[in-house]
Amino acid sequence: MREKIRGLKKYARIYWLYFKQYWKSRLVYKTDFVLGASAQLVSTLTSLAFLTLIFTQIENLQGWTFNEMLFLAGFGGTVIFAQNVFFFNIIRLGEEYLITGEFDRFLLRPLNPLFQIYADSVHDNNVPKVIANFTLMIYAAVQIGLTPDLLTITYTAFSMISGMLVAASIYLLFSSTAFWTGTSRNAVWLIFRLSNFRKYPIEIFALAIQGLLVTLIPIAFASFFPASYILGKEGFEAWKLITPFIGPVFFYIAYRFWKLGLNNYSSTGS
Amino acid sequence: MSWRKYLSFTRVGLREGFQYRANALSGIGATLISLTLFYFIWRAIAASGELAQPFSTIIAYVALARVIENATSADLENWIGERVRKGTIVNELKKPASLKFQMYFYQLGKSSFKMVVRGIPALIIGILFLNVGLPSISGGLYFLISIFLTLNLAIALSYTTSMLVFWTKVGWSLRMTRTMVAGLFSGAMIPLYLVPDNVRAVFNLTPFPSMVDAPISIYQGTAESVLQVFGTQIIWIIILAISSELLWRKAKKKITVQGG
Repeated sequence: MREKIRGLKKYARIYWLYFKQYWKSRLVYKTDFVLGASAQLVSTLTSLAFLTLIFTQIENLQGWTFNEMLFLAGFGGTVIFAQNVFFFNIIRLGEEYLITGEFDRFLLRPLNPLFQIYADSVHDNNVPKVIANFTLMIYAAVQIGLTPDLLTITYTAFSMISGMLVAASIYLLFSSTAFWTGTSRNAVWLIFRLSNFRKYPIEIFALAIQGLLVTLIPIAFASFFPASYILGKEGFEAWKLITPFIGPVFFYIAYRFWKLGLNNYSSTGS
Repeated sequence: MSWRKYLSFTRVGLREGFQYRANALSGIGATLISLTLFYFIWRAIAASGELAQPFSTIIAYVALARVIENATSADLENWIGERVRKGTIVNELKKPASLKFQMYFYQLGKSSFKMVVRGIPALIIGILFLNVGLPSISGGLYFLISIFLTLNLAIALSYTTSMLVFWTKVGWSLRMTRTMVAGLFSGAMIPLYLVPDNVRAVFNLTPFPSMVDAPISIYQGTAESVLQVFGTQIIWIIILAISSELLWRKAKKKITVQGG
């Protein structure tokens, strides 16, 4: 146990060093950051505009009011984009690390290679998006008149962390296919598209898609289940209950898959 | 100007498309995913209220919007961004052809490839599963003309924003912003007849409805006058061509070669 804690401390210290280093090089391209962050904000605004326009046509979407939909979008957005800030770099595994041979450097160091990939970059232009989505979530909660008790707040905190791990596990699982295919970008771009499913109540989809959203791409645990628990919506009781604890499970599975790929990996030799 | 010279840029664009065939395949996957998502969203919306059109008409519109978007995408911001960053833009400027025509013909080649590998599959999916239906022969012909005008509009728009790269030095965020805004205003996200009148009036002050909503109205035969649709598209192409030319004149003085 002592060993473990010391190991963890070491990784935390190294992450901090990487983090500082990253920021030094980041500030060289200030316009890139500012424009990137603005573009991300515009994307949040357009999906907000879409929702607003839809609700000029209807009162509620299958029982979900405008503010409840806002809450759902805000909750899921906060989780996914907060996750993106720290765990996004893995999607570059194929193109930026494996094909270039860069990955071999990581294997030589006495540090976990996955940790090194995560620590190599901070997706900071997602930070404004996290703030925007969190604000949206709080705004919607106030509009609805939610008065969360201690249990709900604890549930929210745990399910957000769990949701981040769920999202990270999806990226990790699909990026790891790069060990066999040499490319991760295309697979992950498809996942991006699928992640849009998180913004809607899961009941509107066909059963096959619902199944996908709780297994291979379990994004429902990062968005729909926790949000509907907090909002007090009916149904999916067992799913809502396991939500705060499921993240580590999915991440462990994805990590095993990553390990499988790693053992299978042989350098490109370039 | 000699056509052969410019067609060589078109060939480069085409060849690049062929090189990244795998991207085309994942493009079809992306189309399938977004059409599936839109199908269920709109089915739920239509079940939740009384809309101006029945679900089958709306989903046909949404599918056609995807066809048009796939067939007319342009990405000159990243093209320029890469070259400005690395400083290799000087190579393009040294060529005995103006930058704008180099970019235009290159994008034409690249987009033609996308039109075939991404536009047509989306159209087939739409016709088979999403009630898109076949247009009349004249309607189909007009639709093709209108798509070609949209492509020109998309290239002109992308070229205009790509001029800003000479100031910003980065392209991807400009492109992302452009496609997001265009997606909302053009009809690609929501059929414009479902948008409240006063909001639509604002949308119509921009070139975006001419890019997606206009060709759909021709395909579905709801356009009041085909000529008026073409006319509006052409006017926007001219406006964008002039604005980009003005920007280019300013940009030319700004060009700094990075790390030369």
